[in-house]
Amino acid sequence: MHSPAIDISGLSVSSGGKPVAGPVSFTVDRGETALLYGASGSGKTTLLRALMGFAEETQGSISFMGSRVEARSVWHIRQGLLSYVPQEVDLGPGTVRDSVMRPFSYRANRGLAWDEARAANLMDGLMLRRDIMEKSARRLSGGEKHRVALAVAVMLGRPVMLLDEITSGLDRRSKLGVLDLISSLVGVTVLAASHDDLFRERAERVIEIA
Amino acid sequence: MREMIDISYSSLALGYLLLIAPLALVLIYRVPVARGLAVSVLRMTLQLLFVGLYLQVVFDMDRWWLTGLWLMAMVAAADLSVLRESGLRAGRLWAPAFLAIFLGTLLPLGYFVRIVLRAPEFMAPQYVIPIGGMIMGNCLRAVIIGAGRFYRSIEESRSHYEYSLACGASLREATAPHMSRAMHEALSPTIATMMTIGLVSLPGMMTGILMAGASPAEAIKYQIAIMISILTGTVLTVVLGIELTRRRAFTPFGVLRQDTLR
Repeated sequence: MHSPAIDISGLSVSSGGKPVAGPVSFTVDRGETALLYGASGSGKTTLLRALMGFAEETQGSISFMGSRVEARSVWHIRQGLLSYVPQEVDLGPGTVRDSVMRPFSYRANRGLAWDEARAANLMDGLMLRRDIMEKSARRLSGGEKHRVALAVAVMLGRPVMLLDEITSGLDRRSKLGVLDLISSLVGVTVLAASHDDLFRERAERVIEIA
Repeated sequence: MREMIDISYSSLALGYLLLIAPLALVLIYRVPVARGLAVSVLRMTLQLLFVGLYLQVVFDMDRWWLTGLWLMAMVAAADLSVLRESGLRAGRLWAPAFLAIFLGTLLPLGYFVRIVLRAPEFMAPQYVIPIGGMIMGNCLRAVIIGAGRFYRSIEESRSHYEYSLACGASLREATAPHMSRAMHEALSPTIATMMTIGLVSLPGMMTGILMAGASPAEAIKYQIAIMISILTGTVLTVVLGIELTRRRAFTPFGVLRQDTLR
């Protein structure tokens, strides 16, 4: 029996000693698409950041594919198991091409080859214009940044994907492009924070956050 | 070598009379710095009197440990200054910053005194204290700019920094662009100084040696050697200052601690 892809137990996040999110406990099975659903301000983004190891004060336990997130394991988990599209995407300086190619220069991703044709296909599927690759990454709209970051996350080929409000601000056609891409990912576990009804309809499981 | 003219105390008192002109002009134009100007002259006099007396004792005793103690005091003062001026919190970072300034200054200083100058003893106070002070002063300025810029740059682009980590970057890879920017800013003043040295004004050390009676040929050799030492010390201190504080400024998860910057 495999351990779940995501196993959260009693996770809560504090800031300056004051609780800001949680406690929550849930599991997500391998290959499942789960939606973290809750009103704005319910702590969805905070919890996803905590799963990435970006929150300074956390209590409880977080495991991915049976590996517990700790100071010593977090780098291995981030570099081998997770991809993440944050709510506020900053793709960094340079063109979109620079941004999408940058992760492939990291030591942890050396085994991954940059595939120009695949990148172009993904951009097409996400309703992004072909010439976007030569545009300044910081001048893209929020929705475009999200979709570019999603394309990068897919190309990194990690088994667990954490997505934060990936469809916010998108028109219906672009939303469907994003959701179709997520549905097409075989064997990838997706945990998405969203309050989008279309996403809710497509999710295999909804985890309500109070 | 010509003898240096000693300024007598009565002549120095005459020198203070020159202050009448700037003070009068400041008062006439109602510039609100008259008090500050007077205090600064007083402080400058008292501080230099104290340093002069102390150095006289250090020079006369000529003990390696006393010279070493003076150097350590300079490093400690520089350390506190770095943490205060760069906006970093002192608590966790004072020890690595101290080590960075200590090593960054001591290595080029030792090379200058022993290899270039071939001084009979490393801790000769008449060389170690003024040259150490010159190297350290420049290292201090550079590390204040460099360390401050490094951490502020990460703080300002926290979203991109975290996105880099999320895409698989190691701590070194995610901080590399910030290191490059910080180094560039920290080294720019030293590089600019070297570009124009001698064209606009004669550097302080060269001026001092010339006034002490040395020939210009002797003076430029000292100046070239000190500039090379300063450049080396500057690069070393900035790199060490960032590398040594980095371990304590980030959580083991790679997140810049919120209490790193004030």
